[in-house]
Amino acid sequence: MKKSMLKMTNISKIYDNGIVANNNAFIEIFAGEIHALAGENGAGKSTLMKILYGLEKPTSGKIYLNDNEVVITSPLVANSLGIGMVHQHFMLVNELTVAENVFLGKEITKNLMIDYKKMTESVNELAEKFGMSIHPEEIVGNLSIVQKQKVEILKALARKAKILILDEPTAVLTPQETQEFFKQLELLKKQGYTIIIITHKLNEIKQICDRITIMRNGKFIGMYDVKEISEAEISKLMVGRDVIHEIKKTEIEPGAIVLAVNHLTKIVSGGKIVLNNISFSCKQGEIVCLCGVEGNGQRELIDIMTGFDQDYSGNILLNGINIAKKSIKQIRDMGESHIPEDRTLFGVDLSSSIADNLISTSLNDVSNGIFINKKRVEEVSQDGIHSYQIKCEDATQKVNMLSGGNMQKVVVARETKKIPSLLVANQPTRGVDVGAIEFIHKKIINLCHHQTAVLLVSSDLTEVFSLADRILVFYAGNIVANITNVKEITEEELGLYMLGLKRMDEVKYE
Amino acid sequence: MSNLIKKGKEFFKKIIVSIKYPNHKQKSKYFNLLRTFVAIMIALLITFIILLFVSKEPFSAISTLLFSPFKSKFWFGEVLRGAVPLIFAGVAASIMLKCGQFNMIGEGSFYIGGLVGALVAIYLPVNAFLAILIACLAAIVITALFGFIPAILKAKLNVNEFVVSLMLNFIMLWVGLFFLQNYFRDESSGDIATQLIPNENRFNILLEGTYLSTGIIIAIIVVIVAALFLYKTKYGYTIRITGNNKNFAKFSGLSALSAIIYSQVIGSAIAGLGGAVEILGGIDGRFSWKSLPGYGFDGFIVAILASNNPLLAPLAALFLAYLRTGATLMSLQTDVASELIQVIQAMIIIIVAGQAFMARYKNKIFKNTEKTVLNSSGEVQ
Repeated sequence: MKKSMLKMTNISKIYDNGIVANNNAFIEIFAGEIHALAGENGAGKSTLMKILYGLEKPTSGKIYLNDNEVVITSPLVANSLGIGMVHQHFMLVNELTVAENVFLGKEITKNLMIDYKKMTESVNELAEKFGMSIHPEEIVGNLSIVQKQKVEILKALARKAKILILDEPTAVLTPQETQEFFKQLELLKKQGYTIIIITHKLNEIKQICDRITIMRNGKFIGMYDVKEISEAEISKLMVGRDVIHEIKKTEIEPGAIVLAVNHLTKIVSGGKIVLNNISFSCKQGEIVCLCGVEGNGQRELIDIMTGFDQDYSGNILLNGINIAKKSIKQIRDMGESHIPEDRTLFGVDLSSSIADNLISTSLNDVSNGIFINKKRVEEVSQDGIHSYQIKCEDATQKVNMLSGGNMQKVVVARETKKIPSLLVANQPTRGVDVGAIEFIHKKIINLCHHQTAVLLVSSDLTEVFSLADRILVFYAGNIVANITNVKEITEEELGLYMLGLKRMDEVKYE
Repeated sequence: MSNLIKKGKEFFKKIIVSIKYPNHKQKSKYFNLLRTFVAIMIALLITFIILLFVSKEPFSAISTLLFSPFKSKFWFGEVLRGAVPLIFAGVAASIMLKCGQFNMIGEGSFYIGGLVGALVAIYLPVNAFLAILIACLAAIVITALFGFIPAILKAKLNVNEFVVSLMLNFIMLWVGLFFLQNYFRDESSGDIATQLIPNENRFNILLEGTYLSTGIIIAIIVVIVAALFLYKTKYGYTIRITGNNKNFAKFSGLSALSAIIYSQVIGSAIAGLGGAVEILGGIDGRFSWKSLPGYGFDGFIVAILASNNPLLAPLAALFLAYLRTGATLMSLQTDVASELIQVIQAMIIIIVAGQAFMARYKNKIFKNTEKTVLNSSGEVQ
């Protein structure tokens, strides 16, 4: 009945630094299906798709398109073969219009001049055909994330792509937006397009995909009809063992107030109010989750709380002491730990050893004022590697040789080895495999039992629901909801708050 | 006795095992060694090809270049003597590069350090050891102060240290030359130069029959102290982390800004000390530099060859000094100009600095380990 359209066999990819991303991987795609490519982070899904799109050169292996062997050396070749890709991080020029972006590099010209009129018309035509409402002359920088994603898809379609690769397309979307996006995909499928979705969200796989290929450690694990496999089975295949999915936090009676934020306002240059008179508190043993679509003030709040930004009004008390004018080091010394959002930029030094990465915040504990005590460093790093189960050869191994999950364990090990009184965890499990997520969640809950107050910023709703004692929803620099009955709220309702469609009349902050 | 033999055997066994089954760290060490070696070989091969064109006696030219420095004690002493300033310059550049600072102040600091060292040794009413000690300290202090200029500008105003140091070099040269010409010139020398430094205020000859002075001991001490500083102290740690990832240093609460400052101050001071040692251990017996000595640039060459590791700087410096001595001999004894050595130098640097050079081979080495890792994990499962 259905015929094989695309086949990748025996694909291996070994990176320059020795990391094996794909090890004899295999995938077969049928025409006109939505195919999920699932696996933990670091399982090699993205690499496999990058090879298909010509961004990475495979070390070995063959690709067949309609039973003919093809060699894809660049995205241009992929485009000419009808393969398009939408990256997780959009590849758009914010300063240009939608039409210009869609035809970037393939501009329609007339007498050596760019024919803007024709381009606008073409975009309108395409958008209409696929039921997207988008204005071709709008500047891309002004668009919402959903619309940007549409531009990316249009870009691929305008290049006559028949196979669309989508790399974690729903990672940046709210639940409502995700549903809308899925309708779009259904429409594309009806028109005969073939779609490959890289994802690790099991409910989405169940909802929209026809078949699924599961990868683990760069290897092909299995290919299944989605109807014939349960979510539990998928996750088992992905990690190779049973995973307790949601680690529920047990009730802990909150203690004294650790963090008190009072009337915090931040105005950026240009007069935009990014934080508008924010007040809230966080107690010992309590996990307060800051929820919201990205760009609604959470990042600015974290920057202020951790000492990166000192230009604000209002005050923040940590254990009763104002942190205004205090340096990052002073704030850390007051018992605040910080798991940063961007792991490779702030969380670790990639070209240093694991040991060097573990001691960066506690230099004074491992030195006598001048000299670093080798024995103490050895103790700290052995302790970190063992109690945080960091997979590595030894502590002298450089961090850039580790997988994403193990890198994040290095960060968590460093930030939590000394029990902090406040832990600011900004997307602590983003881009981390299921095993590591479970481990990190356990660590955070364990800290609560030791009276740590936790401020969690997360866009992963599963994480929010399993960990949070309280959810504060941010919208346009305001807290629009303070949800104390986390167990009773649904994802949809939370989504309404996050999108600013609903707000609590009187938000009580306590 | 048998115990000692046993221990020796074990030691060699360990080395053999580490060569046969290297771990990730040893592997990258061997790889870097091999890479540098191959780069040098390629450069020498190209040199030989050039010699075939420019020389009537290419074989004797290349053998003079490569072997004559070892043929006499005097010339071997010249190799060692030539390495001393290169060691200082290399260590200075390494410390600044480790912090990610491309600072060229080594040029000017060598000049000022040499001048200050000479003046103290000539005019200060103390003798011998004390005079040398104070001369060196004065050179360190003055050049450290100069080093502070690009450092503070970088840290506070984010002015590019490369531009500042490059310009500052001229200021240092001409200010130094101004004082030399107007206040400290020895008219009787018939040159723009200081008076002769009293013999007892200079470094002694270390090796009879050569010009090698005891200044090389200072160089060795600097290498050891710099390595201890970089790899064993928390200040060195901060320098390394800041150089690798400034954001991470800041995030961790390390004082990245002060690391940027003290790495450049220390680098400048080491170059200044190098200048003083060079003059106090020199053949002329006085300071007569009328232009920048070029050691600031040489320091970068040494640092690149030594991959910014102070402990490897002496090796790189010796190698460079050996090539230069060989080139001098080649120009004396054959029909090839010594400038050819600049061509060889440049080629080696380009090949070594090219990160992608032999990258494919590196993949192969690492691939093999990965395979064994995969296999072993497969067995366990």
